[in-house]
Amino acid sequence: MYKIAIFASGSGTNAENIIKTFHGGNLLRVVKVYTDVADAGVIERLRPYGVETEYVEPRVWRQDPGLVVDALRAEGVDLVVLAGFMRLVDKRIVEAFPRRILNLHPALLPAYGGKGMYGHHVHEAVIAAGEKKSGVTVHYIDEHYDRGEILMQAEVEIEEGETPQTLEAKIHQAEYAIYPRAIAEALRRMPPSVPRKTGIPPALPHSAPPVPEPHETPADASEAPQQGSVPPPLPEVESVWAQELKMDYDPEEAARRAQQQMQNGAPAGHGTPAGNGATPPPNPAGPVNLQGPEQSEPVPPNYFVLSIVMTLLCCTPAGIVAIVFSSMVNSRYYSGDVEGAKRASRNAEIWIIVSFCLGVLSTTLYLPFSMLFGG
Amino acid sequence: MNRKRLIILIMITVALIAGATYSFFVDPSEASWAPKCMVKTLTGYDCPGCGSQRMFHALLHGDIGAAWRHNAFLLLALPVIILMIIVEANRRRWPRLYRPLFSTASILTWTALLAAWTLLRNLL
Repeated sequence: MYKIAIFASGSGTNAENIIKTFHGGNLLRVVKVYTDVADAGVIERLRPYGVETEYVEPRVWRQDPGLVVDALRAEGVDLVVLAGFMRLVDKRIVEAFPRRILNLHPALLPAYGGKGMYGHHVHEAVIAAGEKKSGVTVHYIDEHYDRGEILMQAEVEIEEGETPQTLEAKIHQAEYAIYPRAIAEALRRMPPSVPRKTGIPPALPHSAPPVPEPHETPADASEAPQQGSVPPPLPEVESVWAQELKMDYDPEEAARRAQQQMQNGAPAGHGTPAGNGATPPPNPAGPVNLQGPEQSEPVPPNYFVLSIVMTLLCCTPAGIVAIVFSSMVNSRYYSGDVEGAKRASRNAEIWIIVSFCLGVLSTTLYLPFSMLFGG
Repeated sequence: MNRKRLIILIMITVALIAGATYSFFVDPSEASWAPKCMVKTLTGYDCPGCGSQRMFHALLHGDIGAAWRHNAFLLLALPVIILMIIVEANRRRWPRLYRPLFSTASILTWTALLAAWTLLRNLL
């Protein structure tokens, strides 16, 4: 089952549509919705679906997007879906999820895109220009507004006397029809070369929920995505993980840290819509639920540098023992022997202290020693 | 950075400054009361750290040549060690740097180099 994270700033109608479409299937699950607006409508709207919403304050989006990346990785997110997210996604997030962030733009890109072209501004510009057709575009994100590679498009006809409001309604219908299909297609296209996360069996969507073939939807097709023909089973795709972090990445700690930071940074309005007397939305639970035995605990410290320094400067024999234990920490941890790794780490620490004490001892004893034995 | 880490950092800095000051002013070759290596005293052989005091002293006085003569390995290893300390402190930020430096292969290389150095300096 693929894991999807949604970024949303507004009322969340597209987010809701996605959740409803894939609910009960085994293709994907929306694990979290992140928003940059404390009282965004999406928080209330998604509450009945039991999908966690998390407010991340603008400062974090702007200056510390690494926290968002950490949280996404900790959740094991395969694909990020922007559903009315107003912020330009920071380069660091894009770099961490190349070709794995989707956006929906209410126009036929490359036309009517770019900064400032959002929501009703687009429809007004389209009608003002006298266009006969508009549409929606689903595209991958790069770090510019609306410039990434296009995945899917659908057209909408513009009639005589169309107003921005009526056009907006038609566009919304096209959005609800196309976005789930585009997401399924994007998952189909996930690179199989993406490394597998240890301990997680590959996701095998044997029976994906029926997704109709993507086709140009005329404006009047206002139904929700139809139960059409069953597509061929999607190829086996490993869940995405951060290969370069395999060495020392403890997702649980990162998730805890990221959530803690985001909660510390968030004001009292964390997830609570303004003026709502109801119970606050469910807080993000404690540690992230991880699979894989070797990742239930963070990697113990390996005392690498200290062992080397101790060998060189304090007491060589003890330092060498410390080095030996230190080399065992990482190898044991990544072969699944967490207990052994912890023991090795403790032993390395002990021998470092022994080395230090012997060094101090030999220093302080040197004088009397040499006086006794004539140096 | 929380309180505890700040205190540790301050303590380390003070220790480093104290050590540097000592090393600058005390020439271990001259002062007979400066600590000597236990391994050398007991066995007569050089341990890999022998000469490190004199090396630091020479280094602080800018005499690279003398520093090299006293302990070449430490002189070369010093910048790498400093780099490793910095990378370890920032290991989440620079995972691509952290990984090769702290891999099992890396520590085995260090061990091999240390052993080779110890052997060499005692044989030559």
